[in-house]
Amino acid sequence: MKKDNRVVMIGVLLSLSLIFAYIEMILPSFLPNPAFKIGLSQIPILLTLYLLDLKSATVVSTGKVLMMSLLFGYFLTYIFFVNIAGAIFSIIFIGLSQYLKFSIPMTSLMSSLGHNLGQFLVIGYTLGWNIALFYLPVIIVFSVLFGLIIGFISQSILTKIEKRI
Amino acid sequence: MNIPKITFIKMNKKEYILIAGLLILGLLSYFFMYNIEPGAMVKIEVSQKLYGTYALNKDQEILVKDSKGVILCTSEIKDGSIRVKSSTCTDKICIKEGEISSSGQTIICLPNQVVITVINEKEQIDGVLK
Repeated sequence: MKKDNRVVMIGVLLSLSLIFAYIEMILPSFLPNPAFKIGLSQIPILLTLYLLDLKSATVVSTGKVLMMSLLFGYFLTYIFFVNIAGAIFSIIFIGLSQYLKFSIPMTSLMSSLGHNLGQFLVIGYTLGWNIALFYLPVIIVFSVLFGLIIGFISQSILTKIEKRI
Repeated sequence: MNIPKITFIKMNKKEYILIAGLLILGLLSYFFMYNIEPGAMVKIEVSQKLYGTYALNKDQEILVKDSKGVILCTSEIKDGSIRVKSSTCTDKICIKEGEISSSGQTIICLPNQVVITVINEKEQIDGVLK
């Protein structure tokens, strides 16, 4: 792919990811804790991973956290570091599942697991481990469930994109 | 625009085992960790420092401030449960979390690093002894 095309694609997918993150923020949560999210903004990140490469997915993932923090005014505060830890761990887990040759839903699951693990580590370190541990069972179950759902959605989008070409 | 050929890998046995293992781990720890019973006290921590403990049976309003005296949130104890009434944080998730009354339940306000935990009286004594 030409370099210009790559930059354009990253731009489009990053803004798509931002829109999804915003939609998720304003939607009323139906999960047991309002802090839990379905992870709709992971769909564009997974699309970037498969349409481009891991490097571009890293740009989209960290770019999303950066832009969201600038848009909603929490840049370089505590919550920003929690989010960026989630993004970094999610990318590490995506890289790991690429290395292990996992399928798309499984990669999505690993990504959501990594995201939650990163946030768990930062929250545990700063607010106390017993508080973070209280949420761990729920985090595991929900990241498996919604990671798979998001993975299947991305897979069906990717098959449709491939047929069009 | 040319897009690289996507290799679709089917989900295989290895992955199903991993998913099942994770679900079992999650559910097992779920049953081991939660023993829900009504709590008696409530503990408020601000960035890992104890702000105060309050009895749940007395209706009152608590103003939580940080070490510099900046107001972080207002929580209200009413009819044996506690909720965050107003907060200065950006996402207001702590307000949406609603009322809690069973021991072990928490309200966490991440932007302000405020943690509200419902505890038993026994745990309270342990805390003092430490």
